[in-house]
Amino acid sequence: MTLLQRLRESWWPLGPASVVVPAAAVVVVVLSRTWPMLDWPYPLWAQSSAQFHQQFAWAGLIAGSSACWYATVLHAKGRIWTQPEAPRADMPVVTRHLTVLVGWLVGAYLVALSPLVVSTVFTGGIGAPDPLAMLSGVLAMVAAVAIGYSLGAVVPSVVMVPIVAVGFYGLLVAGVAAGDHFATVVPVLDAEPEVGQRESLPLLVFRIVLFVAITATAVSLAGKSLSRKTTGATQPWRKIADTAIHLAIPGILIIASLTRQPVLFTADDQPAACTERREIRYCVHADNQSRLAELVRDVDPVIARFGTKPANLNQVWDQALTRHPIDADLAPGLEIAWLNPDGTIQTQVAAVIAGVYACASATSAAQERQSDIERRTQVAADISNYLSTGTPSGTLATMPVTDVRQWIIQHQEQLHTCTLTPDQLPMARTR
Amino acid sequence: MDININGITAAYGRRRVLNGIDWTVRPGVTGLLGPNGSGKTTLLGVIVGLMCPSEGSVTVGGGSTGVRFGFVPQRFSVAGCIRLVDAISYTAWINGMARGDSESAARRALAGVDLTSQADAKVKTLSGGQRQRAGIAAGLVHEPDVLILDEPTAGLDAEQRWRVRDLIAEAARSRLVVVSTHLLDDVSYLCERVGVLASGQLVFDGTVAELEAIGEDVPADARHSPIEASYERLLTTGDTR
Repeated sequence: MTLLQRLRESWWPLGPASVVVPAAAVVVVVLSRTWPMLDWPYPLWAQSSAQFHQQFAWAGLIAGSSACWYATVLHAKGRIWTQPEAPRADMPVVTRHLTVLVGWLVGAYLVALSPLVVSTVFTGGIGAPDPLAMLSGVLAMVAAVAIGYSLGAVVPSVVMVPIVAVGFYGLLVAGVAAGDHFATVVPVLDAEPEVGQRESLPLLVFRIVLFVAITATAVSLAGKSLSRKTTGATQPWRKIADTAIHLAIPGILIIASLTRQPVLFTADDQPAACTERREIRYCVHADNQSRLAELVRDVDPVIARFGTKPANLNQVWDQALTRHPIDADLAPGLEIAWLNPDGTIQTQVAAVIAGVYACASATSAAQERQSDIERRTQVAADISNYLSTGTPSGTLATMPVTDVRQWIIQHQEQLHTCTLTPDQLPMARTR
Repeated sequence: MDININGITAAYGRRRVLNGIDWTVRPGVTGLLGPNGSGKTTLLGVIVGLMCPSEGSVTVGGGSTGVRFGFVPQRFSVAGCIRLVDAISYTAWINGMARGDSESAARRALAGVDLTSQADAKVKTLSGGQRQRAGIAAGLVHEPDVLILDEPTAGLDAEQRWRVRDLIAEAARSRLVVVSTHLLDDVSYLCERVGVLASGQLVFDGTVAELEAIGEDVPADARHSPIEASYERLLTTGDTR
């Protein structure tokens, strides 16, 4: 059988649009959301693995709704092809349809995620892949297809399609609105794992079991609803009881899981890699060791512009090292740096040693004039800007760099406590 | 092969629609006549297994298993976006035919109902008569032992009605056929035997000639054919002579 024949077979009898259009939509939404990650110089395997469930957001909605549409078209009331006692009217037809839908829609999902996996491999992703996180996302997509199909088979009316779409959207909104409270049920997490973190194993195992249970229930309900059409009418109470029995296992799992707040991530206890420069100690998580020099390169010019070792800064730590409680003796003079996978490093070192936060939190004496407070705050901001860029500006604009550096060294303590008096301000010297 | 209907009673909620029907349907074409609401569609539904009776049983072919039904309901639907040949081949597959054989069987069935030229067209482009013939093709594509048609000529113009009647006659050469209708012309043209339902009861079971004999003493006029006169007498007086 040629590839074209296989493709024709897969979209028979509804035609190519029935599966190609939603599959293409899945590819577009997943690619558009993961595209910015493809050129990240420091991708994390934990994050790339998590995308397998994070991208469920819109892909699941599309997959569920299109599976529902597929079922409503083929199982609408009075369809001529469901002949009495047709041997393939129930489970065989459900199996075939779901195989086609999962093949196209979940296949499209995997195709759309493959560039991210390839780029993570080729740029030497930090950490290791998380196969269970990936599997949980794929199974969530399978469950979405099965739920959509099952609802379309049980209530075979096109009205179900928007209802299913809104339902999936509502599930996602509820998941985000409730923070991580629904993390056991909603595949999309509010936060993503970072360096040194992995998704919690119990949570992943639970989700995998839940999505398998939901899929099995949906398949069974679809088969049951279709077989009834050819075996005669059943009492309404019997139908309700049957449905309740089918829903019991996933229902119990969901309710039980919502009674306690899940732990989303576990942090490993990897040793830190450290170095020292100008009396400042720089430490990164072992997985970020290759970025230690980059961190120093990023922060050291700020210290150099400051002119001396700042009194309120002893060390700069990778944020990935702060997930466990930090010894109180280590905390003074500790600043955090965010080493982002996109290659950026974010720290507040310049603002901290310039006293920006000290001024923001300082309580002024009652007799102090508002204009003095504003002037101190402005000076702190201007010094922070100079430390970041190397160019004096604002209240420092007329001062040569050497004077600025000298002034900082002389007034370091007042800067860090935001207690500069009007005659100590740099403008006072130039005036 | 016979269909034996024994003491069938069926109801929708508290409303009893069939009331203790006993009937044996023999090979050939059998018509099922009756006014609207007499229970024709319900009885066909019970025969093909789409509805469970509250009492009684239906035995087909002496209770042998594997009897295949073809059923063309009065109202059926086909997805408009689908190609006709795909709709019929899907019907063949869902009714047990291997996928590899279903398309050729569909084309054969469509040729049998004179729709070869429409095979690759979308269903939504078919006329009413063509849709009705497509329904018959769907009922026949899996080569059933029993073909049951509910009002197959309703709503068709005269020419289409003749074509459908010919198709049914052709199908009956190799299987038992039951045709529900309220058109007496259909019965006269197609059927060897006929059953008449009224208010959920079988008030007549016999040949077409026997039905016509009921009203043979009614004076002929422009409005009444012999079978019409008999049918009217049967329904108004219950007189079966």
